[in-house]
This record gives sequence, structure tokens and C-alpha cells, in this order.
Amino acid sequence: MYANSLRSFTDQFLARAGRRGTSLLKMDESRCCSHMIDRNGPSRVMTREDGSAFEFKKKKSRKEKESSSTDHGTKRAEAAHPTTQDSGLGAGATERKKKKKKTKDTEGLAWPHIGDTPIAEIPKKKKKRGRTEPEAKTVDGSTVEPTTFMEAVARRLSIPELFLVLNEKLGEECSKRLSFALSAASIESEIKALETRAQDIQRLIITLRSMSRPVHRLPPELISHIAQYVLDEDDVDARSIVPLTHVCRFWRDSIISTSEIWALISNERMELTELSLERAKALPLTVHLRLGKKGKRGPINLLLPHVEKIVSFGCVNPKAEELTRLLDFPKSMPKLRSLSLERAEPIGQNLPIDSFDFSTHFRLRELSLHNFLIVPSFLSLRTLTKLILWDRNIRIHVDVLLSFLEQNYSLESVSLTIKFEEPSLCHSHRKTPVGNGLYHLSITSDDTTSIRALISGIALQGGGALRISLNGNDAGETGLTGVISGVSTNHLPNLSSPIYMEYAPFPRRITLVGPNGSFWYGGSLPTEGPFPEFPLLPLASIRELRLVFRKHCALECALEQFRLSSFPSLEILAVNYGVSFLSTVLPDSTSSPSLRTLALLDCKISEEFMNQLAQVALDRENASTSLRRVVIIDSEGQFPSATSVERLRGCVSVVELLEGKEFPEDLS
Amino acid sequence: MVLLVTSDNKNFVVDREVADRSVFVKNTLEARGLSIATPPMLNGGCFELTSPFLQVLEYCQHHRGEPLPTTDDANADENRKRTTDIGEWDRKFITVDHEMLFEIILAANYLDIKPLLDVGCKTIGNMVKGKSPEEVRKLFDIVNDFTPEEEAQIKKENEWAEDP
Repeated sequence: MYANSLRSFTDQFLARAGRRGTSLLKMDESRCCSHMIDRNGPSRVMTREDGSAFEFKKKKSRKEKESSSTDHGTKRAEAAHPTTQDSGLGAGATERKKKKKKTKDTEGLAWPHIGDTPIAEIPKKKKKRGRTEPEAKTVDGSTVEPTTFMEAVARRLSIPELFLVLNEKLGEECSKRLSFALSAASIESEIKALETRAQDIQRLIITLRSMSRPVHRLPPELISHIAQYVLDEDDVDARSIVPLTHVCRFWRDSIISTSEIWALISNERMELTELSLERAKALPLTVHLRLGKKGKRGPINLLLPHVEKIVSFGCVNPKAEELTRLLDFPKSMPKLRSLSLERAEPIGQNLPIDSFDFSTHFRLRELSLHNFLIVPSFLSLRTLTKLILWDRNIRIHVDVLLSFLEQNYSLESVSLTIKFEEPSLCHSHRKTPVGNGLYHLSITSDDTTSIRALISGIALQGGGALRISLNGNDAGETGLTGVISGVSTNHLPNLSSPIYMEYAPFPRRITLVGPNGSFWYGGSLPTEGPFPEFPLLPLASIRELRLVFRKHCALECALEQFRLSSFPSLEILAVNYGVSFLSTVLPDSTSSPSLRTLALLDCKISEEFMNQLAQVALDRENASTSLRRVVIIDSEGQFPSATSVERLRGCVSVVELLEGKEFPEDLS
Repeated sequence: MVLLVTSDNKNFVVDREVADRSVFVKNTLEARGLSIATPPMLNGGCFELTSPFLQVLEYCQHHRGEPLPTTDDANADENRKRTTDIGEWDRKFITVDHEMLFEIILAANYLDIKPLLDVGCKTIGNMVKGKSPEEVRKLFDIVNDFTPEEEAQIKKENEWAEDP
């Protein structure tokens, strides 16, 4: 309070003196935050906040010099205005003028307010040798010795007098206080600086300590590598990465500087779109937009300057005119290599996508159309390597579709979920099947005629994969028979000589893998019962068979159709959930002479079965077709008794008990 | 047979087929025509290699004979990175404590065994997926070294990231 009042007063005084042009103070800077009074001499030395001192000097006139020893207040005013005394005015008038002048002088100068201290008149000073004691008179004429600096201030002493008071009467105390205030301020600032240093050192210690841990020895490129694996296959933007940038400074810097991570753009969140575009820099972009009612248009505006960088573009619920208006699609994307357009519902007779012209998009490699009609502009494409078509009411002839596949010489993978709208559309007149480099062919339909037409029209490359899904009524009525009957084995090379087979009766799935390729078939529940397809399949060459049943599935019916004798080359038999099935598959020495390994997963094996198995193993050992390995796996760790296991170990070289949910990768 | 010497002067004699799983060792042996490969100190410091190196050898032993990734496979990196499935044996192999996991990753990176590096990074990726920054810090004992100001800024920047 004390120091503040003084500071405020001094500042105002300096400002006022400067404004009136009568300043006797010489100072270099207008802003002065702290002042220190020289305790040994007249109050002439002031100190700035930065510690530098400046001196102000009083230029005294001769008259002032004469009067200064007696009156530092009134006389100064008289000397400054000598006409006052010579004007002939009476003493009262002069006094009024003096008062008026004094009032004027004090205008705009806010004196520090100290309680109810009476306003003192400017005291007359007696000339004394040595120290000059200022006297003050109150309005009632009594003389009051100022005891504190603020008291003197309240009595409106002139500034020089004030400093004298300060210096001579109270200087020591005030100086002490000011020095203390200043020292306290310095200490405070020093403490703050030290605290800041301490915080820095503490952070350094933490950083150095953590640097010794292996996680911190990973170089930035490995942090980025890890972050890329955090992205899921279905992720359309880098949102799942963002929390990793908040872990620590090193992770943040490493991940942010990896532009590839941020090149995934969507219109889900404006902030993320903006951030990703900034961090992806000049890299090619993979953009996925969701339009329609829920689609956000704001992020699309951010994307506009970057459209040329898009190499992969996916859009859900697009409308041709909207895409053209928003992004000038597809002209604006000359580097486009992958395009995916998806509609939730099939379109009617209108062809909104027909307005796109893809004839100039020579770079397009991947095309995915979901509920979009095949239109001439698409059929002109010749550079595809991957095609996904989803159209339940395809309106083009099967030969047109096959020609389209054929003209794309580099096509490697085709996935067709289609049904020709009219049966006449799937009657092919081609004499030779499409024979380009197609490696993966997946056909899904509820129409066996459509599937047969496509299988007959496409020849897979050797070692390729054929996947067929049959849904709807046809699956139950004709099943696999309806699909492959009448199809030349030339068209299904992957059906010949398979060495691995997985069979699941409910729901029905068959997987065959061999040197000529793989074949996968899936269909709805059959009406004939389990294993009706077995006669169609080349079982004689299968060396590994996995039977996968659904949990708690009762298989008492129709088991007679399954015989191990159908698999004369079988070496490995694995059964999953076949609780009721186990006694049927017990391998005697005649049914499967090559069988070496039996694996049972979650089969809830009884003691009785273990005894039977031990006996079978013993019989086979005698017949020199020994069972070498039995693997029992259980997800809940429920295994047969130790006694039965030990008995089995007496007949089988290796008996393994594993806790898990899957078969071991290698059962051989 | 090939003699491999770790930076802490432990000797390992392995089949050439096993040693060749490491591109670094393979190139070193081919370039120098030697049968001894001495990896220099990692990070220029005394880095105890033996423990992770034993793990790495076990991995190489198991996958010996499998085709090595070629440069063409690098083009398929993008697709591979999105596939975070790990084979059963690899999953069991990599089920180790965090410290060893990072050591294996560092060793695989240094020895240039890309499939092992991928397995390690996938494992870490699966571990941190869906976790909050605090949970990740706790998981790997990472110190939050952001200043309060930086943290406030980050939170402000990415408030939307925590929205459902």
C-alpha cells in the first residue's frame, strides 16, 4: 500500500510536470515502475525496474535559490509568477489567487488518499543551519509535525519538500521499507526463475530416466510403423491414431511426422479432416466420403484444394450431380487408381452414375460398385486389376460381362455378387472361357444357373482360388450339386487332387486346398442332411481333413454317410465339437491306414472314449499302422483323467494336452 | 554353419539357412565372404544382445526355409499393415513381457528381419488399439513429458477425438 501509493504519486507527478512543460525532472523513460529514494542525499536518484538509476535535477533560478531556504512552497509560486505581488491586489485577493492557483496545480493530480488526515497548508519553512525541518499548519492554524511520509503527502507538500520530508524525516524508515519491498520483489523473481529451472531439470530427469527403458529406444520410424498397425482395415480416417499422439512428446513427433498415416481422409469430422490434410502434406490421398442425409458437407469444402491428390476414392450414397458439383468428379481426379461407389438400396431405372465419364481414366486399377448399374463408361475401362460388383438385378448379358473381364488383361481378382435379371441374360454363347491372369474368383448368388454360367465362362489361373456362395432356395434344393454338375473339370482345376479339406455341415462350408488351387463352397442348410456333397468331391487325395461342427450340434442323424474309408490317403484328422461323432470316427486299422495324427478340439472326451482310443491305438500298433500323435485341445482346460491319458501314452508316441480355442497351425 | 557373435561377445553357431533369415547377416556374409558375422554395438553403446538374440534365433529357426520377403512385397506393405492377424505360433512366440517385446523389435529392426519386426509391431499395435493415452502410458510405463501448457493445447486441439 505504502509503496504503491508512492509509486502512483510519483508517476503522476512526473506525468504532470512533463505535461505542463515546467518539468524540472530529467528522465529518459516515461515508464518507471519502481523508484528508490537515495537515503543519503536529496531525493534525486530514482531507480527503474530494471535496476538502472536515473537522476533528476532541479534548475533553480536565482530567486528560487534565495527563497528555497525559507519557503519551498509559497515562495516558489510567487517566484514563478512575480506579477502577483505587483498587481496591487489586496492580501485577501492574493490569498484567493494563491488558493485558486493551488487548486489548479492540484487538478489532475490524484494525491494519495490517507484516511481522514486533515489537509495541511503548505508550511513556512524557517531557515536553519543544517537540516531543514518542514512545518505544517492545519486549517485551524496549528502546526503539525508530519510523522509519516503519507501524512506529508496528505498535507500537499511540494514535491521537493516531500522528498525532503521523505529523506530527512522519514527517509530512513521509508527507504528501509522500499528497499525491503524491492528486495522482496527481487527475491520473488529469483524464486520464480529458480522454480522454472527446477521444473526444467525435473522434466529433464524424467526424460532421461524414461530414455533408458526399451520403449524409448525405439526409433521414430518404428513408432510410426506401430501406429500404422493401429489402423483397422475398415478405418476411413486416422481417428484411432490420434490418442497415440497424446502419449508423450516423442510419440507425438514421430507419428505426426509420418504423413502416410494422415493420408486417410473422411468427412466424418471437420477438425480431423483439417488436421489430416495438413499432416499428409503432398502425399496421395485416400478419401472416403459419406453423403446422403447424414453426410457432412463442411469437410468436403476443405478437401477441394486437394482433390487432384486423390488416388483412392470411396463414396457412400453418392449422387452423380452432387459429386460433380462438390468435387467435379471424376474429371478432378486424374490420378485416381481405386474407386468405390456404394448405395444402400438398389437404384431404379434411373442411371445417375451414367453421367460420369471414365473412358479417360487410364489409371483406374480397382473398381467396386455396390448397387450401381454397369454402364457403358465403366465397360470401357481396360486397366482394372480388381473388380467388385454387387448387383442383384444385373441387366447386362453374361457375354458382355465376360468380354469386359477379358478386355482387362491385368485382372487378378473378381468378386461378383449378382443375379441376372432375366434367365435369358445368362445363356452364354462364348466358345472359350475368359483366360486372362485371373487368380481369385468369388461368385455369390441365389441362382445356380447364373453361377454355372460364370464358372463355365471364366478359367482361373493355375493355383487360383474359387469361392462360391449359394444362398436362397437353390442352396437347399440343389446345393453344390446344382452348382457344379455339368461344369467341365477344366473349369474347376482346383477341385482336382486337394490335399486339405475342411468340412462344416452346419452351416455348410467346404474348403478344398491343393496344388491346383483352392475351392470354397458355402450354402444354406441342406435338406438332404450332412455330407451329401461327398460323392461330388475328390476325397481320395485328401491327406488332412478337418471336421468342424457347431457347438452343441446333434449329429445323430445321417452319420452313416460319413466313413473314414472314403479318405484312403488321410494322414491327419481333426474334429471340432464332434461330441457325439467321436465313436464313429475312431480310426480302425483298415479304414485309414495312413492316419498318423488325431486332433480333438472341445470334444468333451469321456473316459470311455479314451479307453476305446487306447485300444484302437494298440490295435493299429500291432498292425504297423500306428497312431503317432494325439492332440487334445480344450478352451476351458477340461481334459480326460491323468490315468486315461497315461494309458494312451503307452500306445501313442505323443499325447498333447493344450488349452486353446483353435487347432495348432501345423498338425503334421 | 555360421558363427554369430553378439555385441556382448557371446558366440552362436547356427545353420546358414537360419542366419539368412536376417537380411543384415545375409548381406554381411555375402559381402565379406565370411562365415562370422559380428554385429556392431547397437546405438553405439553396450547393448546386451544375448537375451533377445536367443529369441530371435528361435524365430529364425522356426521359420527357416520359408520364402523371404522380396522388394515386390514392399508394394503390398500398405495392405499388409492393415492386416493385424498374427499366426498362432508367432502369437505364442511373441507373448513375452513388454521389455523383451521391445528388445525383440529392436533386434529384428537391427538385424533386418522384416517378418519378425512386423509381428512385434502388430502386437504392440493390437495392444494400444482403442486405449486412451493414459492407458498406453500405464501399459508401457511411459512418462507424460508434456508441459501443462502443451497438454492443454493438445486436449483443446483434439477434444473431438474423445467424442463418441
